[in-house]
Amino acid sequence: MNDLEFKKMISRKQDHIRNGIILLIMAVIFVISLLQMNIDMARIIRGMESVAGFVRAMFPPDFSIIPRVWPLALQSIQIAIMGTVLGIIFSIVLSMLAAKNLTPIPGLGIFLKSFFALTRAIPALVWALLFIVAVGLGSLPGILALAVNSIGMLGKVFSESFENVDKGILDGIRSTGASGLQVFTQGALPETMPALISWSLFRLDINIRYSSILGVVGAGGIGWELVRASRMLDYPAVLMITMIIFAMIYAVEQITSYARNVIR
Amino acid sequence: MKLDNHLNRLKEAKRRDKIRLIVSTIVAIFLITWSWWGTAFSIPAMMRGLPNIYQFITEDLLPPQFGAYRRFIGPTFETLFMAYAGGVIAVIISLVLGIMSAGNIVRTRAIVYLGRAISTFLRAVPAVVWAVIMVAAVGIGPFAGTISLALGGAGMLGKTYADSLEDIDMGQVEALQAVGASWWQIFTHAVWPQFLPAFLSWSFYRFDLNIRSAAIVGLVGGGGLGFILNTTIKLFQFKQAAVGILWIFGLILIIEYLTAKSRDKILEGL
Amino acid sequence: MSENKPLITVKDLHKTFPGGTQALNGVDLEVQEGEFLVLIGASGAGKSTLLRCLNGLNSVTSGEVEIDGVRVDQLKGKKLRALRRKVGMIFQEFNIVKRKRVLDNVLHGRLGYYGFRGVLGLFTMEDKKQAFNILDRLGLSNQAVKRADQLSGGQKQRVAIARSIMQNPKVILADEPVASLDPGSSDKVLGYLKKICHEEGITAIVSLHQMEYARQYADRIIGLTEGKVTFEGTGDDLDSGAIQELYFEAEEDEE
Repeated sequence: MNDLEFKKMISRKQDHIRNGIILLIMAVIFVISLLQMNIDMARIIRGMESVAGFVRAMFPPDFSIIPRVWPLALQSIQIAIMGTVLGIIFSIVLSMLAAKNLTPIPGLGIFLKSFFALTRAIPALVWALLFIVAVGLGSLPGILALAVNSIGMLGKVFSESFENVDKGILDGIRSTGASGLQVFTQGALPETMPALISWSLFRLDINIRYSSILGVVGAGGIGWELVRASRMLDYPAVLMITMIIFAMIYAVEQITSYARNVIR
Repeated sequence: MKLDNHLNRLKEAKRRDKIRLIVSTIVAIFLITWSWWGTAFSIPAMMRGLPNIYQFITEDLLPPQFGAYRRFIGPTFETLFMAYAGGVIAVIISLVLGIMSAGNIVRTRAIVYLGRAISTFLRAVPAVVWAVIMVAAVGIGPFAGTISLALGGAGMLGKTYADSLEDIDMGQVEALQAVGASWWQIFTHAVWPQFLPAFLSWSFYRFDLNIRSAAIVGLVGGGGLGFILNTTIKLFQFKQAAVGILWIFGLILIIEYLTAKSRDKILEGL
Repeated sequence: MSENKPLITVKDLHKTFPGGTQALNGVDLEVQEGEFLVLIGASGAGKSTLLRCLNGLNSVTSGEVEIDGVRVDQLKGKKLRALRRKVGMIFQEFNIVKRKRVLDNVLHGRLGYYGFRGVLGLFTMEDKKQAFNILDRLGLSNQAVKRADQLSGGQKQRVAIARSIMQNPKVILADEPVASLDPGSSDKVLGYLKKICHEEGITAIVSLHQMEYARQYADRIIGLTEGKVTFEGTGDDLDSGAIQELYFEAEEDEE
């Protein structure tokens, strides 16, 4: 084999060209995106200055607002817990009806699963807005919004867990003449319990995150304080509230993660 | 002798499990009761609210005013731009954060700890909170939105990149150390090829999440679909808001589908 | 073999790991240039630790390691890298980059000689040709542009050997190179290794736990027990009495 043939054989020019083009296109789209949003260099520099000034104004954080704001943080946690509990209850019922191997009505599964997808895809904050219009401000719309959003996710994963239960176990119970509901409670439910609990804790984690921001649109909790402080240009308070939100979410994350590990 | 010990240990384990179960149940019941009381949750109130919700959905929201779809085209593009630009910035920041946070690549414990701390902070704070802050800092609009997406995204990617980097086969790294290669050479030739699939996978996933986040971030002033949705609701134009919601829903589904498809294709080609 | 100054000298080498394990308890060793030396011993006897002390992958607790006049145990940074260029290593798990092509893996052997161009993977055409030639000598020319994970275990190990040869080394250290291979591939790999080391004048130190291979391939055999040299001789000297001492006495001591 001569030099030329060798060069050809080991050449990766095609790959390199392809990669280069992809990167180039991505960079071009990036620049276009920025320009379309009216973000040019001047804006970026001004932005950085604004942020720098903002950061300076935020320190030191205002600890004095803690007594006032702390109860709201707790309320956010409560809203999240209630929303999750409601979500779990409804999800268990609905997911049983949606599971192919447990549902009394065939075909209902597809309908329910699309419903789950819908409630899941619409962001919790949007649900909150809708519920506020429907039932007014306060913690109720927040709880409902989280519950509905949770059903979207838990309904899906619960029904998948049920459908993955060993067919043999369910058939065994069915063959004794048990009703559909009994097959569910005595067979599917115990088998999937660890997974259900794990998912529920995971959802609680997510709901705490959402709960902290639901207040932003008026659905109760600490989010409202955040917006208020930023509107009043009380930046040290903004920093303090952000830190509280962070601490809240982080703490719950660690707890649920620990709990999920213990469940093995 | 041995058998007795074994049986005792089993009994102990069972007892411990039982205690754990009882304690967790008590804690759970306590938390739920506390939350119930704290939010003044009342099932009657919820029940009373249900017909309201039903009425709201059937009369105010539906049928959606499909003709108003034109209002949402511009914001849709804005949402896409925000998600993309925010994602690109997040990826770049996260590469640095991720490498910093990987204990097997950076040997200084302090740097790894710092990297992880930064990622955790960026990640735990929800994107909407970042948006509120950014809007206060640089004003309403997609600029604030893009930055918030970038920050939140950097937090998540920083952690997942670091985890993926720590998962690689260090044997391949050792082999190149034995060859006498420099740190950068080892990184490009032994670390990066192993990291690439996880890198692409997580980055695509982040773009996916960004679309959802971009839609929400607009609700507090960050531009895009969320912003116009907020406007329509504040103006009581619910039938248009319904279209907006469906629009967001559709957009999320389409992007989810596309990213899943392209992710599969690219991972195959690797 | 001429009685020149040995290429490798190990004096009173001790290695204790952070957990407290005393892996090497005073090893003395001399290796002549061009030898094909085999290390044998039970698991945990210290073969792997010894090899890794020779190229600095393990630090030394006390003692001296000298290769070609350079004190390995005192090297750091750039100087250590410079030494490692001259010492090739082959691992039990092959440790080649599976997602890259065979040829690219072989080229990795030259990284120690490159600077920034090495980071970008810009190797000279000459190096690429040489890499191909080495693969050819090891019977892998047909696999040169395949992705490394498409090869069998024995082939992967030969790629690793090619990578080491590419370094133009004086010494090749092989840490249980055939432990993960079936007998057929093991023979092939050891055969190729010995042949190419002989052709290039490379000194080889190979750790094995299979007696038969030791007898078949070694110019000289060194046996380790609990971190000390307890046997030194040729394949013929390795009779059942010697094997007994190496392996079974260690077990007796445990109780």
